[in-house]
Amino acid sequence: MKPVEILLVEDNPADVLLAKHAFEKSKIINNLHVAEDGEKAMDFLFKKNGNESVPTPDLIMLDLNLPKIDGHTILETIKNTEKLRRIPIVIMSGSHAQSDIAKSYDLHANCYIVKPVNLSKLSEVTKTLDNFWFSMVTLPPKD
Amino acid sequence: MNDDTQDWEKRYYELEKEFEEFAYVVSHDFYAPLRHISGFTQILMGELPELSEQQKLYEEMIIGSVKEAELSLDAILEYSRMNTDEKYFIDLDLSKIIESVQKKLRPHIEESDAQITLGDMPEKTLADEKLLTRALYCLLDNAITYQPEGQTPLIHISATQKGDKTIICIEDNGIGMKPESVPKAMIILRRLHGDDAYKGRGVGMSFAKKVAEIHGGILSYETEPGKGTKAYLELGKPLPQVSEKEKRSRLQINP
Repeated sequence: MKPVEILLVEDNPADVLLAKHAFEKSKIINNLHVAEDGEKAMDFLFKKNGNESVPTPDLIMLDLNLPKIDGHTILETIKNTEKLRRIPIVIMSGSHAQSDIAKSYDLHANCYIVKPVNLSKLSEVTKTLDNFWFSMVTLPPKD
Repeated sequence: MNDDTQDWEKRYYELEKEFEEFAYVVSHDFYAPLRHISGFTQILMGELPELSEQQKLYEEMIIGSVKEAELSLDAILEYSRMNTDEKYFIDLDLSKIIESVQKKLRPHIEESDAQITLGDMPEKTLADEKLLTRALYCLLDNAITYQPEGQTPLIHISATQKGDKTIICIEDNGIGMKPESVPKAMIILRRLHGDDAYKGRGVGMSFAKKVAEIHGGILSYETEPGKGTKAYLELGKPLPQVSEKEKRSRLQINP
């Protein structure tokens, strides 16, 4: 089976490590790509600046509070780009603010998850994401 | 409107905005280190071959402390959201609200064998459903929790209306409080009892007080140690709601 390509946009190295750990434990074979700021995420998605041969992700996990370009702007750009807008976007944010949540859905985020504090809850999140997006859901065709 | 009122109003919305931003920073910047402490501790412990009893205890301590901090942060956030979240003041059936609160508290009620009776209730109460439910949950939870060991909690809930005020009284036969301790107990996360005596978080009274204030009322108590507690949740005329757009224009911020 072809591994699924996941793009994690996250600037906090500790959160990146925890996510990697959780995805390593997951059943789905995955390639986790990490972009540490908004600009790098855009480069990856638009295959620019040394990213010419990277795959188009099957799923994007996006933090909101990011250096250079913030998460909402990235979300808006993706959803306004014909080639990218089909990719499901999971917002993974530390923010509980209603305004952040509402804005994310207004900009067509596929779902919003508040980063769990507990490791076992984080594993549950990755397991559920795996199950839902890569087993239950039929994903859009890739060009 | 004269200039003075406008100045005060502007200051009020500035402070509200500041408070909102403060809560945002708390949520984003304080949860992250907690996540990391608990996450990496669990990974480390999982990778060690065999843990001694002592090591297991240390792990429990770390995870337990993180949980404590998380719950306190949750409480601060919920408290701040009470101010900032949109509210919907409508006529509510108080008995139905109390019924739903009792449902939510069912495990606690069954475990303590609490006997709850209802007195007269007005037909309609003007309130925000979510906030009123939260306040009654907190007050009823306190009435069940703060009891002498082994005693069956006897709780009576009644409500009266005077003009545009509704006063809800929750009376219990619990341990009571010194009247002079009441103001302290109403401050968020302040607890009157040691960590082990009662498993409260020290948020119930502050939440209920906030809900009363948002409804233009107050929370007051009649209580004595050993003589039970009467909590009065007074709801008056709700504070006027200001839309986000209006707030911005009053602060002279461009959208």
